[in-house]
Amino acid sequence: MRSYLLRRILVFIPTLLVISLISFVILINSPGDPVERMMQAGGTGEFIPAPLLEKQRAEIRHRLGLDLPVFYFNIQSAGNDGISKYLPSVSFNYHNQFHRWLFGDGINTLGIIRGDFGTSYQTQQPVSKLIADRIGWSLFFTLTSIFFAYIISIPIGIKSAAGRNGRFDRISSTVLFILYSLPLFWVATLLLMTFANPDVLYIFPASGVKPVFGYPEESGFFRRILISLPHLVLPTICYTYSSLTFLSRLMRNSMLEILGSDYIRTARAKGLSEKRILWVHALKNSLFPIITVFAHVFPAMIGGSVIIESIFSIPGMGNAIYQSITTQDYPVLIAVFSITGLLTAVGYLISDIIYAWVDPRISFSK
Amino acid sequence: MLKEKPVKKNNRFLKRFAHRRTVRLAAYFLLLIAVVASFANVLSNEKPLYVKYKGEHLFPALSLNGFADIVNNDSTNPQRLVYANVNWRELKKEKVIWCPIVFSPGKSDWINSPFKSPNDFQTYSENGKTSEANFRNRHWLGTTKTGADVLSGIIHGTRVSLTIGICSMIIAGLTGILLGAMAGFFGDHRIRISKSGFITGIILGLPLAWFYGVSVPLRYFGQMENTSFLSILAVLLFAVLLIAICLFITFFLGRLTGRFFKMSGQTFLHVDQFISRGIEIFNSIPRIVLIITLSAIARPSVINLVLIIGLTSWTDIARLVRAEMLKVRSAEYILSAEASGIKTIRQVYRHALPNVVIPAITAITLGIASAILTESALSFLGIGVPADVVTWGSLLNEGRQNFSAWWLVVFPGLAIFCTVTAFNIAGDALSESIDTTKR
Repeated sequence: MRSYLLRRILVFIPTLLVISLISFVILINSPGDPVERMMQAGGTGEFIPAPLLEKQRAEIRHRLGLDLPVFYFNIQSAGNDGISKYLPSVSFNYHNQFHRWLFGDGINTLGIIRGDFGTSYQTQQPVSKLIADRIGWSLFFTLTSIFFAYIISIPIGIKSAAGRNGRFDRISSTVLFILYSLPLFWVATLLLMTFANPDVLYIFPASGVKPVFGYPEESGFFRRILISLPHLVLPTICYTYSSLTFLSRLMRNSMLEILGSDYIRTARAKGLSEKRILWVHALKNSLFPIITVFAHVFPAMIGGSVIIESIFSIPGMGNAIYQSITTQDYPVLIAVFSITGLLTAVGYLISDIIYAWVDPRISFSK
Repeated sequence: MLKEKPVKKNNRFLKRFAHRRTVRLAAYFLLLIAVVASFANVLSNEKPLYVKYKGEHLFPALSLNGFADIVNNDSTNPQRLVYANVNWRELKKEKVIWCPIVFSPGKSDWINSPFKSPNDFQTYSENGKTSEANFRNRHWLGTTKTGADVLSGIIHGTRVSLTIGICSMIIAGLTGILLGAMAGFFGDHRIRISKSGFITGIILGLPLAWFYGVSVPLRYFGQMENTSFLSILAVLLFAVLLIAICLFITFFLGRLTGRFFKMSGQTFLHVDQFISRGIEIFNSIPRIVLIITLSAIARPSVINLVLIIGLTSWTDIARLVRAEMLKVRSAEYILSAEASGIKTIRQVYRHALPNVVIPAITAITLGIASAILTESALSFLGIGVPADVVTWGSLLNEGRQNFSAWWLVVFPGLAIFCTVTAFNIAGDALSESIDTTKR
C-alpha cells in the first residue's frame, strides 16, 4: 500500500510537469504579439515618435521577459549561413521564459506556482482575480449536479441489475442510450427554447444566475438562494444528464458482478430475503467503482461547462474560456486550462488512492 | 454415424452483427449519410447539373475547374463564364437540369430572409419575375437570417462532420493501435538492448533528433511557398526519417564505443511502462478543454481540427489494444510462432495484430460518434472550422440567436443526434458480435 502510494505520487509530478509544459507551449504559440496588445491597451492615442516607440516596445518586451531564451535547453543552429545553419548547438540557460513563467522573476511576476497567471489583455486585471471570482459558480454547478447524478443513477443501476434483462432494465437502458447520444448543446438550446421562451412557456429565466438588477437590498443568504433558484434549474438539468448514462451503466455492471459472487450465493443459501441481499450485502461493495469514478466525471463536467455556461450565460470558468476565445484573451485561456488540468490530475490522484484504500488487491501496473 | 451440424452459417460475423432490427436500421442510416456526404455537391447546389448555353453543353455542378470558355460566333474573344459568379436563375439558358435541391449552403437568398419557416409564404425569382415558390424552389427546412437554405446546409454539413469524424479517428486509430500494440506485445522485458547504446541514444540522439527532426523541418516549413497536403506529408515523412536516422546512428556509435571499452551490459527497454504512464499522464488533461484551447489558438481549418481531435483521442484505443495484446501474447499460437523461429516483426503484424484490430475498430466507431459531437459542439461555439463552412453546429448556433426559428434548432440537432446514435449503435453491436462472452 505504501509503495503504491509512493509510486502513484511519483507519477503525479510528471503529470503536472506535462500540463505546465503544454500550457506554456500553447501560450508562446498563441497568435498575436503580446507586446502589441500591451501597447494598444496602454496607449493614450498621442503621437509617439518612432525611436521612442521602439524603446517602449523593448521595455515591455524586457518586462514581460520575452527577450529571454524559451527553455532551459536551447538547441539551435550554430550559425546563420552556409553549413553552420545545419549544425546544432546546445546551450543551457537558467534564466528563461519557462522558468520565469513557472516560478516568477521575483520582481514583477510571482509565477503560476504561486497563482500568478499574468494580466488579462481585455480587462488589464490580474487573471487570478478573475478566476477566483468565477470558479465558485463552476464548482457549485459541478458539485450539485454530480450529487444529483449519483442520487438518480445509483437506484437506476441497482434496479436494472436486480431485474436483469427485465422490462425496467430494457426501458432504462434504451432511454439512457438515447440520452447518451443527445448532444448537450442541443438539449440546452431545446430546453431554453421550450421553457424560457415567451412564445411557448416562460417558466424559467433564460440567462444568468441572478436577477438582472441584482438581489434586493437586505436579502439574506437563504433569500438570495430562493431568488436564484429558477435560474439554476435548467443549467443543473443539463449538467446532470450528461453523466447520468455513464454512471448508471457503471453501477449496473458493478452490481451484476457483485451479485454473481460467492458471498451473495452464501447469503441466498442462508435464506436472506432478496431485498436485504440487494440493499445491504451487495450495495456496499458495488458502490466502490462508482464512487472512485468521481474523478473521471469531473473533467467531463468541466468540458461540458464551456458549452452550458456560454448558453446560459453563467459567470463561471467555462464562460471565461468562451469569452477569452472570442476576445483572444490568451492569458485567461491558458490559466483556465492549467487550473482545470491541475484539478483533474488531483482528482485522479485522490480517486486512485481511495480505490487502493478500499480495494487492497489493486497493484500499480496490473 | 454422428454428423456435425453445419454451424458455420449461423456463426457468420455479419449475421451476428446485424441480427437486431435497430442495428440494421443504424447500418442503413450510416450508408445513407455516407451517400449524402459523397454526393453533397450534386444533391444540393445552386449551379445546375446541366445547362445548354449559347449552344454549348455545360455541367456546372460537376465541373472541377469552375469556369467555361464560351466561343461567340460574332466576336473572336471567347467569353469566360465563371460558375461561382453567374446568377443561374437569370442566365438566358436554352436547356437546364437543376440539382434536386437548388440552393448552395451559406448562400444568402435575400427575398427569403430573415428566418423563413418551412411553412411560411416563400417567394422566388427567375428570369426577372418574382412569384410564390413552387415545389422545386421552396426552402423545405426553412432559411437562416441571411436566407440561406437549411436543408442544403445540413446536406453539406454531413460531409464536414463525416470527414472530421472519420479522418480524425483514422489518425487516432493508427496512433492508438501502434502504441497500444507496442506496449502490449513488447511489455517491459522483451526488448534487450545495449546499455551504452541506449544511454548515448538518450543523451546525444534525442537533442540531435529534435534539431534535425523538428527545428530544421519547421524552419523549412516556414519558408515553403505553397503548403499543399502532399508537401506537408513529404516534410513530415522526411522529418520522421531524420529522427530515426539520428537515433540509430547515435545508438550504434554508443554500442561500438561500449564494445571498445568492454562495457557490453544490456538493459531492458521498458516499453509498456513508458507508454502506459504516458497514457495516464495524457488522460489527466481534460480532453475537451485541451481541444477547445488548441482550436482557439490554431488557424480555423478542417485539417487542423482533424489533427487536434485525432491526436488527443488515441488514448482509449491504445489502452484497449494494449489489453487485447496482453491476452493475445500469452496465446499458444504466438508461442508456437515464436518457437518456430518466426521473426518478431512478422509475429506482430501477421499473427498478433489481426487479432487486436477488430476490437480497436469498435473503439474507433464509438470514437467517430464522439468526434462528431466534439466537432459540432466546437462549431456551435464558433471555433474550430472556418466561419464560411456551414456545419450542423453552426446552423444550431444561428438558431440560438432567435428562439422563434425552431427549424434552425430542431433539424440540425436531429441530424447530429441520428448520426451519433447510429455510430453508437454500430459500435455497441460490433463489440457484442466480437465479444464471445456476451452471446
